[in-house]
Amino acid sequence: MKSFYHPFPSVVLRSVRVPAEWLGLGGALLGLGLMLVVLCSCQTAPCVPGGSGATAGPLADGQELSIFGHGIMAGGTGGLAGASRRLVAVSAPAASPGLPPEAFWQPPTWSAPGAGAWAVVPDPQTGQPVPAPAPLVAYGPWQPPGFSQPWPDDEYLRDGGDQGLPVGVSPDWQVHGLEPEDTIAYYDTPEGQVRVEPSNRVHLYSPRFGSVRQVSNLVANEGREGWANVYLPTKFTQKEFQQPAWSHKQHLALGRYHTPQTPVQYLGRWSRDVVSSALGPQSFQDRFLPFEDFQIIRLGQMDNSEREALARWVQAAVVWAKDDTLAVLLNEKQAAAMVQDESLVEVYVVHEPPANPKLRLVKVASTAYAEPGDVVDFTLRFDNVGNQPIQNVTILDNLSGRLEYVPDSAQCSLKAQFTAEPNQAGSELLRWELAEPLQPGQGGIIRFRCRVR
Amino acid sequence: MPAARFAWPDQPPVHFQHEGILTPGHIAAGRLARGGPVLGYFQPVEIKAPLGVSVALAEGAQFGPLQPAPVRVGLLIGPVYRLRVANIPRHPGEEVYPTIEVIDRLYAPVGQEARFAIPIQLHQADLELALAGKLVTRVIYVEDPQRALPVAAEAINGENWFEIGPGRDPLVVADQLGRPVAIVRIGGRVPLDPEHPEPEFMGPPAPYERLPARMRILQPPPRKPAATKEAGR
Repeated sequence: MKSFYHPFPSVVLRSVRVPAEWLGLGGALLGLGLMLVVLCSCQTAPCVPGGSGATAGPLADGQELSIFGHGIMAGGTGGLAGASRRLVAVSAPAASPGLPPEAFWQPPTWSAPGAGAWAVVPDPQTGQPVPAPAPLVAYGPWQPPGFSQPWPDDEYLRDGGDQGLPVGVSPDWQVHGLEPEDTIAYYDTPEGQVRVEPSNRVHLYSPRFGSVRQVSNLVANEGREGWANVYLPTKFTQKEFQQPAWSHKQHLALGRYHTPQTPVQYLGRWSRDVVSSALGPQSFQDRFLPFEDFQIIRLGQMDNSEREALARWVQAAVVWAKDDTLAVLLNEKQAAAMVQDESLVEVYVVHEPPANPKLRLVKVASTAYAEPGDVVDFTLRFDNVGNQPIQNVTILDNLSGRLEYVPDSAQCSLKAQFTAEPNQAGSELLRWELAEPLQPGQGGIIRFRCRVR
Repeated sequence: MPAARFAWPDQPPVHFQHEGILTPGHIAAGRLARGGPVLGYFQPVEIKAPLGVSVALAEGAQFGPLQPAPVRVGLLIGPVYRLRVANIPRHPGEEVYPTIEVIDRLYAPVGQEARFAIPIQLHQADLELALAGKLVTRVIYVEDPQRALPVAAEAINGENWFEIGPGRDPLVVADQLGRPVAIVRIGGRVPLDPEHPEPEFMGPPAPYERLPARMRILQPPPRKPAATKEAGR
């Protein structure tokens, strides 16, 4: 179920995936009234590519599905099957081997998956799609359930997102503003722009304790009284502290604000090509792990029923299900051009969506709490949820000082070059550079392991 | 100065107005006056000690039975708990009576409170210093993850502690490094009769919650290499 914004009554409506049979039988009567009726029915179609609605009757000739009067045609795959001969569609690339094909190739979340479809209404003034309202907005900082603010967050180990200064990429591919705990991805758009997308933040309950010791000894308070001189009062020596004689080690971390550019960072910048070993892609595990049992990880689609569970780890879930553009699917292929019918009477017009490159990066962890020494599995799911292919996709995970990367544990479902180099926090900066462009709707999975320090 | 004078909502959660050498119970009373979900909460605490050391907590006017360390209990925030530490290695027949003052709590996930208990480590060196007439004050704090030392727990023998010299306040230093949660004082006063300690020594009685000990994962014994045919012949 998706949410989109209806500009006229200024309220948030909920659209549903309409079975294609409804569209086929409804024919030309499918409009605003039918949409509202469908809203009341509230059925959800299964998210299976090539959905069961493909056998429904095609649209009748001369039909034009105009919803809300703005010429955006929408319908199920069955309903549009008859019109496919008039449209040019972009062929879908083959799925990657390993995991099931639907794990790597799904229609973008803003389009109609399988047997369902919905419409996105453009702004009548500008013609641009109205961005959907955030279905899950995090108000303020994350906090555990059951406790009211303010609460101390020093017991949680965080990883992901883009905290502090926003990450930027210069034209010479230098990444700026990447701080410990940040997880971002940047890519090139067809227009030549470099965009940065952060992931959500993962919170692990893993408090670590320290102690401060002080040894004191009261060596004074000795009083001497002399009978010979009764006029002298009792004299106390001054209280003193005595420090033990043995040597001790100061377990103090360097103040990061005092030395913002540590020698580790200096070495990592200059010796990337020498020290950083380009690790070859490891054999990808062909099964989903138990903690990856989310639609957003397995299929790349956001499911409302999972948002509550995901919200425990997620702060930036706003970007997951943002329906900010429109799409038309023809047999699971995206229409990309406008073609006229030969008879010049029956004209189907397909509005090509505006360029909207977008990458979604979702991060989950295998556990919500860990003790020092435990091993935690992280999974990154990346999807091209835009309508343009993106190139030079690079995913960076700058681990915090309390996470130690387990060597040779990185996996990527797509062909990528992986490197690990020291970072300024005393841990490592993990980098995946995808070898091939990422087509719209294409995605993949990255896994790696960390040991909690 | 009464601690309630510092209890307003905008006060930062630090103890810069206090000193670690204040009377036991003073810091925790200030934390209670600050408010929050701390009153009546039994904070799990795990008392660790060298192998062979036994620990007993005060139960009313007497000490409870000695139990081998580590011991996990739930302590209230505010009272001062008196311990009895016996069977100290290399010091047979000698005992130490430290105190534990929990001054803040943790916010562990539901069901994980006992697993993430505050560690109270009684080091052998601390016990021997107390037996030599010293007073050892340890302030346990939760590390700030942004400033945590990037070393594994094994590299620092499972604990991260350091020492400050005279003239410095351990509570203030702990505030700068993280959030203090407990104060342990080892040494000082001893009872006249350990079996029947005087009430002034025990202090006001405070309830505590007994928690099951942490499950230890026993390693299987090493297997003997299987005898080969050649060896059998």
